[in-house]
Amino acid sequence: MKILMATWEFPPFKVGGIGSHCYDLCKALTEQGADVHVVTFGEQEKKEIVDGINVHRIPSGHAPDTISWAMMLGHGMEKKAIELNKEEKFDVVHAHDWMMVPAGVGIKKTLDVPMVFTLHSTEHGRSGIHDSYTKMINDLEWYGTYEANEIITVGSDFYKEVRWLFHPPENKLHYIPNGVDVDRFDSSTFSIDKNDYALDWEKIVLFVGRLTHQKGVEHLIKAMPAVLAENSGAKFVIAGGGAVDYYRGMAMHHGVGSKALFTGYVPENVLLSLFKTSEVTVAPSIYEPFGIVALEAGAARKPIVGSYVGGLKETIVHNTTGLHSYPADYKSIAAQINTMLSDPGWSKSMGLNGRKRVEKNYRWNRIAALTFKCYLKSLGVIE
Amino acid sequence: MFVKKILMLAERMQPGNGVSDYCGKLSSILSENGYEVHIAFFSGSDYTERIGNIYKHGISFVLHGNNLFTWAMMMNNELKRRGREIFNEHGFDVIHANDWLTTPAGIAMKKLTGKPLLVTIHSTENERGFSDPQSPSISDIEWWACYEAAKVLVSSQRTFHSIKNDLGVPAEKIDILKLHDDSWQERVLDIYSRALVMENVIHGEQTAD
Repeated sequence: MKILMATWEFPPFKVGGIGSHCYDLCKALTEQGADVHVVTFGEQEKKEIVDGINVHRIPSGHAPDTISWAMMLGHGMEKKAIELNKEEKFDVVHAHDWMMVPAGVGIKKTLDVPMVFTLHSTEHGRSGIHDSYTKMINDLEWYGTYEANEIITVGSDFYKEVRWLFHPPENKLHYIPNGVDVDRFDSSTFSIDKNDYALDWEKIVLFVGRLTHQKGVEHLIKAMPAVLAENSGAKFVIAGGGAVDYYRGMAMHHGVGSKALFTGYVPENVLLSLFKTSEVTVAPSIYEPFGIVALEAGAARKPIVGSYVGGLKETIVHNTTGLHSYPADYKSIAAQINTMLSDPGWSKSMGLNGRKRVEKNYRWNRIAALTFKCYLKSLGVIE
Repeated sequence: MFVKKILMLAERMQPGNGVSDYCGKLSSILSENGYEVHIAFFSGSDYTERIGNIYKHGISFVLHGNNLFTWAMMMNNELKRRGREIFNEHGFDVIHANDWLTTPAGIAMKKLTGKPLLVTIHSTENERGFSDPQSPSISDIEWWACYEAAKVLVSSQRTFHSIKNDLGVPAEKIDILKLHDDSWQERVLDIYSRALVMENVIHGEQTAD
């Protein structure tokens, strides 16, 4: 099967989780025998082959805002798709999130191929709909679900959110979780020097993610004094880009500046080692359609404290692979972190449970197979 | 007999609208001279209407835009679908797109079918004052249209100069066609037959008379 994957970001150009998701998905689909072509943004037009995946980078054009940028990018991606289609026809175009709706629909309508549309999050959830600009993004998300032959949502709670927001016909709405590349965790041999992050005897409490409001960083910061009061050996490591200075300032304001290390964006090998070196991971999100971080913690055999929201409701099994905390509740977050740190043996066994669960349910070969079934359904090959 | 077929793309076909009247006049001349003309345009609903050799294909489109640029770019996807359907059902030999509002679809049809693209730029964004936040994007679309077109048609010296100087298009690529000049009908037919010759040269086909 020849698949065209349309994503605005693709490694090594990575901002959020969509790039990694697409890379892992494409790699697994390629391993299962598909011919995969990625169209993605690049400053210059370029073709590369990455792990057997054909990656076509397409520039956009002059644009005053991201919506216009997405329109220009769609125009360019479509021209490339028509060219690639001449050698051998595509069977399906798979578009990711609203920025790929112009490209995906254009390609679908021009080449007469089915479109599969994955929503990773919604504008409604990210920022709320409060002006004509955010409404347009919302409308593009709706339009993607309208024009798509099949829709994939990455969380089962998120599935309900999409259903409530856009009312798609249920027979074309699917839930397929994100996956994690367990082998990459195992095979990565790079080790950080712990002294760069914490003192010998300190236990690292790790946050991984882009520092935005929806990730709930402020609630974690507010929880830090209570954690340190009970577990003075804790050291918070906040790994992610975004509003780093803002949150660093907030930590100082709460008197925990010396116990919270803001690393900014870190490369993957460092991240994998940070997971393995940490004692516990915290995901205090207030909006989280999936939350890959829970799978990453599991792959690293570490327990997680995560908000009872969205995808974290299903990726964390309370008292088995980690603990749930109440969303936007710093006291709850502090209590759960303290419970973990106070019983290292039990925490460790939860980490091992997390690993087993990830191996059983969230490997990419399984996710890719489920996605492939969606493609077959979009082609009318299966019901 | 080889019937020469045209796919014409207009944002809308409404009496009194300048581009609509232009397309109407061109279609009349072409159909009187043995061409079959298919005009695809945005309307409230999907329909096809045939009067002699002129087919009008209205397309519906449900998305509202936050501005004209967003609306037009997304609406073009319906023109692309319709163009593909027209190609499969009737065929066409030349594509003629009008203004940036339809050139994304024109370019898609050119790339899909290999047929030559004529583009009429009724005015450039520069002429309109470049006063919109989306003006840089619209201008890019105009530039791409002129790049992909076999010929760029304009209706005035002013637009000719704007295309040449603002968009950097070589003068030889631009044709001035004024629909009230003497013998404009012959000029239209001449422009189209030259486009068809281009088409035949590309595809190596023989015209049968």
